[in-house]
Amino acid sequence: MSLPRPYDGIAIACPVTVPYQRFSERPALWFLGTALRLLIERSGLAKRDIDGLSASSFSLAPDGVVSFAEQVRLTPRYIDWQPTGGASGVLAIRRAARAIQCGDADVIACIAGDTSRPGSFADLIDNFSSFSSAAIVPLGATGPNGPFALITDHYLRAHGLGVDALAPLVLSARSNASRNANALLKDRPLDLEAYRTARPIVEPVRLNDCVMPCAGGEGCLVMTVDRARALGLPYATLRGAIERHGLGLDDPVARHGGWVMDRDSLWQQAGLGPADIDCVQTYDDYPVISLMQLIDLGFCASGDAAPFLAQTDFTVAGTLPHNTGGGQLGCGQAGAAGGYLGLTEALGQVIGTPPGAQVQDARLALVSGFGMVTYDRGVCSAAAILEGHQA
Amino acid sequence: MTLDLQRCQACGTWNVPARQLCHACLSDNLEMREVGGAGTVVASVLAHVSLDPRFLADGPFGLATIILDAGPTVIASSAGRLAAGARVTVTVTDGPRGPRMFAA
Repeated sequence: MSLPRPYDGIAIACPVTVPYQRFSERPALWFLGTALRLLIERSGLAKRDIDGLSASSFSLAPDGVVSFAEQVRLTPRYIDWQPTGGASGVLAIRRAARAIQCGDADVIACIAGDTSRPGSFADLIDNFSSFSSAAIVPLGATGPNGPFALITDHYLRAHGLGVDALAPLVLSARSNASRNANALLKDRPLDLEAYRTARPIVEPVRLNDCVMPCAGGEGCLVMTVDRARALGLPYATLRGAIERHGLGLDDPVARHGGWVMDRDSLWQQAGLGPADIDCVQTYDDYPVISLMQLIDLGFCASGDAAPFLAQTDFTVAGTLPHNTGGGQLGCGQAGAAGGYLGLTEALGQVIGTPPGAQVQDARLALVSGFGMVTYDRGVCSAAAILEGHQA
Repeated sequence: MTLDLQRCQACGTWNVPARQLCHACLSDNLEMREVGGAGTVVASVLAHVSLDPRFLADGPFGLATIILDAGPTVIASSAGRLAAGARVTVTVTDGPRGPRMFAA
């Protein structure tokens, strides 16, 4: 397998968040448009300077990236539609970086946004994919809780973990969220006893293992390092990036994401190892998926999950700061913007402007994405390593 | 007890869920074939919530991933939470949202 060429000269800048709300009457177009407006306000660029656009949304239909660009009167020479849910942020910047390196665009706005109305989540689940409609919904209309509970049940037993073993990932997320004004659960602290006794959703998954669907948006800009410096913007360089889709479909129950196949490439691209990373942002639609990422990416040896979970402090000031703004478990899941949350948090940490608490001296961050449960597992995996620089 | 699952007539691969082309050889020569419903539970859960309340009329219900003795893996609902490693038989029954795999 060839090693990707370096992402030299590329800057990721200007993380923005459109504040999350449990429900909103505004459509996805408003959340995407507001993310774009925030990018323009924070960067000092004019709208006409943005000549590339990558967008992700689950609730934008019947509109798409083209009609969004028309509504806000952008004239991009690069467009990208990322229908990859939880992997969309990393995939968007990975493609944008290459387009800018090749001169296909100068400044690319990468944005995701979704709305949330009572009942809209149920509608999304009913029609998420042809496999899901035909083979999962008739079993009980559990939405993603059913397939992820099966993965959790299997993963816990495969790794010799008890039913409360994932608690450190959930409790630390809520602790980190308490310092992030944008986190919907910032005022809802959680202790082990409350975690253990919370109502079951699909056992072994309990209430606090699930994300709260909500409305919101996220975004960032991709441009050259020279452009970021000229604008006076702090930025991150891309030390490495991977993606892999559809790995392990022969496993009766998902045991890995694509990271396990490409992690050596990621670390080799970066010239780094897990011990060099100052904070990790995983895709936490369920805590078992965070653990899967931490193992597949090499932060924990496969046989060591129990002591790793018991002994690691995942809080902002801890030994392995993880989902430092609270993750989706603490902030809520704003549809496809959930696939950007780790990216904007990683970027905010390494340039010194996180929405919540700052990891001390954070320079290197890993962000990982996981998307699209079209049958019984997520099929899209991605990860990137960001290094922060001041303007 | 048997189930009808989709089998590739070119290479013999079972395709679950059914699809347009065989995932192994991309042949479109796919037909439904009988397969024995006996299998072993490899993952199992108990659902207390559903987006369709009709599923909860008799209380919480189970879901399980089952490797059939004939080879393919299926996901089925069940009356309660099945034990990992349990031997079960999968059939197709009518549910609130149409036919579904059911393990007992």
